[in-house]
Amino acid sequence: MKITKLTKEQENNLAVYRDKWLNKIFNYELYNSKSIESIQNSGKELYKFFNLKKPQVIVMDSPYSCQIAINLLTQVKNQVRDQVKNQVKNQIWNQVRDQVKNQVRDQVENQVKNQVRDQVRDQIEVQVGTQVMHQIIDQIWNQIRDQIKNGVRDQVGNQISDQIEDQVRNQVGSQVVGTVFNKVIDQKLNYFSFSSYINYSDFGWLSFYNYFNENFNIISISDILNKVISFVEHSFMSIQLEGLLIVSRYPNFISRNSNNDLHNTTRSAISFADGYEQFYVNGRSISKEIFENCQEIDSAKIIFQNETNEDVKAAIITIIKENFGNEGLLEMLDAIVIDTKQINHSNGYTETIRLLQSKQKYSFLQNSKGKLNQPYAWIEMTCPSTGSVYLIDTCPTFTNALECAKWHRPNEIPLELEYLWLSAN
Amino acid sequence: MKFKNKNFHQGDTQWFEIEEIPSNCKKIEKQFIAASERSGSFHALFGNYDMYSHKSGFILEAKEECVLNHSLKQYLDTAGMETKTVLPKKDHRHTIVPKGIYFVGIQQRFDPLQNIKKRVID
Repeated sequence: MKITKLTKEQENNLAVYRDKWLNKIFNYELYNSKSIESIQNSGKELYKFFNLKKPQVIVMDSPYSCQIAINLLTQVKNQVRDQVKNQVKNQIWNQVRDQVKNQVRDQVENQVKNQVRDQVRDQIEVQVGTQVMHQIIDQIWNQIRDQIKNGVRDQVGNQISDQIEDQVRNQVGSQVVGTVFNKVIDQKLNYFSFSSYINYSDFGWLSFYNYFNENFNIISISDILNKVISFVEHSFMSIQLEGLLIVSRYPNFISRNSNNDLHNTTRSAISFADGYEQFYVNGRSISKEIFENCQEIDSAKIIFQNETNEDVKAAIITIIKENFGNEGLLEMLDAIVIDTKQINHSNGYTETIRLLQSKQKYSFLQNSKGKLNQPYAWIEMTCPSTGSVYLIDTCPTFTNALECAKWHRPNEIPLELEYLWLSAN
Repeated sequence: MKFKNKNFHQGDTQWFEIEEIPSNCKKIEKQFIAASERSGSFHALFGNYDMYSHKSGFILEAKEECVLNHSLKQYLDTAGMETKTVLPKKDHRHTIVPKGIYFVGIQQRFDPLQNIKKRVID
């Protein structure tokens, strides 16, 4: 007979399991508890589990170092040397050299020289268990499906795995991979795909099955499930090649906002033991150079004036607002508030919009009537999803923030139409 | 266009319900309403709907309730935008779009150097 309802204790355990899985990464439990040796052993066991040749396992502190390491191992070293700062390159190379034997290095070099990089990438996914992982997941899912009613599965999904999937995979892991990818490509190095399985992206489904396994005892292959969990706990992400596994340790610092998006306005939002770090404001990646220049009002002002991308401008505004308050923002813009309006939309959503203008007028600026010698003017709006504050360039003739907001809607929209949102995301 | 005063927005995409499809609009293949080259994100409607081009944006006729996602291209699967589905969000939460006809445009900014209104860039 199928299980149709959770007991009180099982219901209480939902939050316990959610927090248990979140703490693995956000309380740095995995970073603190997994030594280089244990990660190497786990990597060897992983390959054995999938019936693959025993690999040389190289442990790096960050996903970026994994990319540099594989580039150092597989390409003409001069090329990599030109692209990567000496200090960083030396630090990473020393780490690699300590862990890899010359013989393996030669083998890998020869192997990759003789293959097109795309072939290597395809080979990785086939080699390390995509098919086997699908079989394992299917087998466990069938057992859960046969023995647990839909409603209970949904309850566990909503309260454990969906939240973990969002927080770990979507709001942290995928962001980190995207930023590493951009940096590697910017440096004109080869980007090697990280593995599809055995990394942060498995947290969602593993937490789901871990809960059922430990609360219901209905999974016949629980030893396999626990093995996979252990592999994932030893690998934030990895590059999996034949005979060679390069693993990144988990981050040692993560900072997020109330929406659980990566966020910090005074330092990097995520960092790793080797010092590699990424900067985010309300979940949006921002370059280190822009971030550091925005720690002072004067330098932020120059960056802001030259930036055309609204998301980057919003990040600058948020940094200044959080670090120096509204007064700091007005100082950066050398501006005054012309008008403030609060608008009550549907479902209790209230929006505050402000009109700002620079004190100074500029001979080259026009208003919408073509008149020169105008001040800079902005309408300030806050994104209800991310909390990011946007300053949109506007016409300085406005004195009413609400009328201005109407004017910024698409050209087809008549100004008489009320400025009201049934939903705003 | 006759507006019904049922409006919503997701990021810089703004949606306004209208009474009927304007006569001069041409039906087009489903596509992103907006996409950011910088971040690889997009705003797109998922489900049973028709899409029409319009000089200032798009007209969308949702035949039934659809889902407006702000997500990343990596989460698109082979079903594309045909199926009503919630994708992992990039920045903005998904929006349930009721059955109806909508004009969709992008929020405008003013360029004081050129004295013209332009689409917001992200």
